[in-house]
Amino acid sequence: MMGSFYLSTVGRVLNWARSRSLWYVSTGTGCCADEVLDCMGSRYDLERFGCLPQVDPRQADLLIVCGMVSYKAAPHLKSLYDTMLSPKYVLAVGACANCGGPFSPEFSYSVVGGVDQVIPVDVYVPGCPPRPEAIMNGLIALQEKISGQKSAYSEIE
Amino acid sequence: MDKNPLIAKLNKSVPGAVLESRRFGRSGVTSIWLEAETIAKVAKVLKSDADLKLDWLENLSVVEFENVLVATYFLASSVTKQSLILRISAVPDSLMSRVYLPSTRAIWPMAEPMEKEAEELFGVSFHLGPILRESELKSNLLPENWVGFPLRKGYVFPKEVYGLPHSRAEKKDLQKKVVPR
Amino acid sequence: MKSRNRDSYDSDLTLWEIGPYHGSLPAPMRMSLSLDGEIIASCKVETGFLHRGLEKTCELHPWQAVISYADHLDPEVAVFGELAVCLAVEEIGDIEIPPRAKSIRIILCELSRISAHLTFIVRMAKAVGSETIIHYVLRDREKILDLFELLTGARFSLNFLRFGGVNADVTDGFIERVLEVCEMIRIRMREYNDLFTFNQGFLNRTSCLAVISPELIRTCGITGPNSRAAGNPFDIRKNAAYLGYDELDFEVPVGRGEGGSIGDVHDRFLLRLREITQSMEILKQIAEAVPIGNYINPNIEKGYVVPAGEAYSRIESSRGLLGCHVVSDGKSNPSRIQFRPPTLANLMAVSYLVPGIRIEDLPVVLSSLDLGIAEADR
Repeated sequence: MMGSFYLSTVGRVLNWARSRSLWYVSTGTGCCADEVLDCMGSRYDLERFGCLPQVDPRQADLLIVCGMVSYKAAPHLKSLYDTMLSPKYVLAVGACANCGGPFSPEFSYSVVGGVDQVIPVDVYVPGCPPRPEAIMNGLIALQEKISGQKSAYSEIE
Repeated sequence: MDKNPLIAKLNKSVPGAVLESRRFGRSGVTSIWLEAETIAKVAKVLKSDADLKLDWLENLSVVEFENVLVATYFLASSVTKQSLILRISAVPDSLMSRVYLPSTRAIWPMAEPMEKEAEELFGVSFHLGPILRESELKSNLLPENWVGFPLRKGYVFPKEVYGLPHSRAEKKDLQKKVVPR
Repeated sequence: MKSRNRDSYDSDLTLWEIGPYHGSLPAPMRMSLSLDGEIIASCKVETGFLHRGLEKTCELHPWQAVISYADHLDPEVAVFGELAVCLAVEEIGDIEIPPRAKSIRIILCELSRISAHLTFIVRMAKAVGSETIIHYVLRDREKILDLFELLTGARFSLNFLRFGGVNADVTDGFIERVLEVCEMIRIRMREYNDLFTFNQGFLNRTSCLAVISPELIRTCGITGPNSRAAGNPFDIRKNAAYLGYDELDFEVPVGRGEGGSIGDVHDRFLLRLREITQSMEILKQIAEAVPIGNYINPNIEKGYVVPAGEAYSRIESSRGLLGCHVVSDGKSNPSRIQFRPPTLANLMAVSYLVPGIRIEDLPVVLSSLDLGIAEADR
């Protein structure tokens, strides 16, 4: 009884800490990558949410997939996701990452119809490209999702 | 046709090369239809000619006109400000079969990426003459083992690539799909 | 041009693969390097991770939708793709463009050029690890994106040009704001120069590095700022003017070799700063006298179908010569739309430039070439 109380309290603190220190690695392709770059810039300043761009996927908690994923890039994206340490989260930014968007499977032969066919996605941000405000909204939604998790250990098996 | 000094010159140096000479669209640029096998020889003449010095292949575009694959060479010169358009054509046997045209990589080195692209997307293989240097730009736009040439008119989109269905995601069984390495 | 001393290194080379997703690369691409200690002996570039089948997608859509797809050719500078398609279609259909539409198009083009070159400064700053300047430049680029938003309603995918003109007239006060932003950037440029351009650390990193020779320009067919930095004054805006660029008074800057040798990384950087200044000159001249009249040719109705024919348009994008070959067979869909992106030539030059440099300079050289992988892969 005592042990579970202790674990859940610690879990809540850990979840809070995780949601406020989302270091991300982004896979930039085109216009959505530019919007994520703008988010990093001084007007929108993503760092005030605790988000910091990272180069090494092992040190990142969040994978931001901006833009389309082609069949050629899909295995590499999957291996990038596998390199990240658990708990890890994925933010799909833009119509192309969500469902193929303008390059959906009806019109394009080489674009995956949504990045969720390759890796699991936590939050989808619509738009072509989404405004920086929309990307920040997606991040806040992800923070709420992480804070609301039952326990930090439920992710680790 | 013989009034044009350029055509006369080409007929003299590479006999039987020129099929027809037209204006390209509304622009004032001449476009010359060539016998496909002679393109490399004609290219050598055009590049070395003192009046033309067409040393820059600006664009190489492949177009399908009713089952005929036409390669269009947009040429320009960095010295004489001349420009010219060359066209050669080939007919593929079927949707899946390749056609073979001579490569001009030896004369215009910048043709390399464009020829590779045409080879992949249209199935127009530009066979090499003398190789200048080992190719260091590996530009394969499509994943390995791709079937078919996507930019041909009759191309049918694949049903499945790498085990992923080529359609919009169905939200039910998302977690089960795994990409093989 | 052979890579330096490649044969003598054959005994103990380290093979190293970067990419396709890596922080030091400007966009998804893969580089296979063979290293001798810190020196790169040879490199292979593999692209294609951004292949979207753009040209096929254009063929599957009606003519009007092609413009919005041309946006995605190079999403950072969307207007150049649109302009290339529009100019080609206008040549096929013999459509006249009203003078007011031409002025609005030039304003959009030059603003895009400034925005693209500011992004270039951001990339360079990222490559040499100068964090401060990134935030300064991004702050100023937001002002240009605001102008795009005011005019077109979008920040990146503008979808604003139409066959025979533009989608909407300029709003009140737009021209004044363009001039204000020009003035602001002119003042800020001095700030960038003090902070970054003439910083000794930056000079040491960039001077005499990865020199583009006139011979390499001829081999690869390099155009745009990269070739102008090496002393080749080729600019389509001057050599084969479109949209009435010939009536404007502006210079085409060429590299002067301030860093040590003509055509090095520092020249490429300085040249883009000079191009920003020239673009602002153009904007000032246009803004002084925007002609009154229609913003779109009134004869072009909504479902305009392009007559049969073909055309090839050439424009100067922020990266070099962008060509577009449009073929129409008189149906509701285009028969073929082919782009000639300037980045293909720049990518070809990478395998000539990189051998011989140190591994720490690789991101600097790659960003100095301003590679737009999105337009190379299409």
